[in-house]
Amino acid sequence: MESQITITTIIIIVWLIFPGIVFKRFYYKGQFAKQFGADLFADRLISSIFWGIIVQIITFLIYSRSFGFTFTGIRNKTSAVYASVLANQMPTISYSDLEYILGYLAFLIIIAFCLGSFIHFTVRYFKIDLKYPVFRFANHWNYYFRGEIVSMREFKSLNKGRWLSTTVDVVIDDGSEKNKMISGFLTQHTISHKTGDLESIYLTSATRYSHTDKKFIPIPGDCLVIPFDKVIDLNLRYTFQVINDDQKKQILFRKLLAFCLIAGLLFATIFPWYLKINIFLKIGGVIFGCLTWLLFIIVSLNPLDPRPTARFPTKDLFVLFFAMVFSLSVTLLLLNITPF
Amino acid sequence: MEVIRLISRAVGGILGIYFTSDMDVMSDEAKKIFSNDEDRKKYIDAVEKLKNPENKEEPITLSTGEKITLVS
Repeated sequence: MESQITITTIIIIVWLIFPGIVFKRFYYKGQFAKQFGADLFADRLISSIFWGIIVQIITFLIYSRSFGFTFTGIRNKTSAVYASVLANQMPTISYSDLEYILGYLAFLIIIAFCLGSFIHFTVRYFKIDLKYPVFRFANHWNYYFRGEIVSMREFKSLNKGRWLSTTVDVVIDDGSEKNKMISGFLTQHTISHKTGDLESIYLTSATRYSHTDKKFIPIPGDCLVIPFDKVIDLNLRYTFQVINDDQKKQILFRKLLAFCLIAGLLFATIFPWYLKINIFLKIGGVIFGCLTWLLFIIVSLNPLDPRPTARFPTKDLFVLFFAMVFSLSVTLLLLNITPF
Repeated sequence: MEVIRLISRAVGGILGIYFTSDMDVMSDEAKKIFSNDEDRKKYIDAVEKLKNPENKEEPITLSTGEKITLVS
């Protein structure tokens, strides 16, 4: 009974919880990394199992397609191992079985990493967390400090252009009779690992209000660190850049570029897995397919870039065109898609 | 070698549209402005002027010749 519980626990940890943990590690990254270990243990366990199941399903679908094994096949092998264990015998596992198991485990971790990073990227790039509160990360300070709140429904009226920087005016209690007022450009901030509260803010080009001169005077130094527990009041001022017609064209061009790129890269990444070829040829096909698409986008859209400095000279475009043709030929050969 | 360098530069440039940092509390444009002493001074002066509610917009010309208009 005890050994059964132990085996079941190990299986759940290795095959469900661990991939879920890897997924969450790469979903909560950057300024949101501290959310990774912030919840209650039970919450973390349940969410890790949930994401572990999703990662398992995706990994199984890809892996079974690549190596041509089925759920029934796995079930038969597992039943044979289980029968041996019940009969108090050493299960027979061949070297190729071991290779499949370890390969699957490695693939599981890679998929968990890719999926976590991809979903984080999608949520942030398309501002899904700003539009839908359910996707919002716990570190709300990041949204305020980066001026991202202007994309939220509640603060829509503040949106005046492209956010450039945030200026902070703080009143701090330094223990003296009069509180100090400091102003400067926000350059960095740190969050407490345990509570998720703001710990310190870092200002550059800082000035302080002089009661005698009745004006702000520069504070000598390069970076002013203010512990947040000393802060009484905090006022944020965003500086935006007005977007003119040329910049609107640039933004539109970048959006078009981003859309074309992602559509082609997704196709180049998914399509080879439907072909009946060796896994190494599939991986090679994915790499060269993505490279071909990137070069195609560069060659076809770079001459249309509204920024003249971003355009490649004609000679370089020819080189990139020939590189694209070469990469396309390699892709087709690897994927065994030839007209003859 | 030259071709590989060109391809990596082109590919790196185009993939850069996805991989701009979503963590920094200062935009890439502002960082570029702050890295140049002359531009930094112009920017800080413009932001100072914008503190006055009467100043709605503040145009500045950067050392590259680029003209930008700031609002607060």
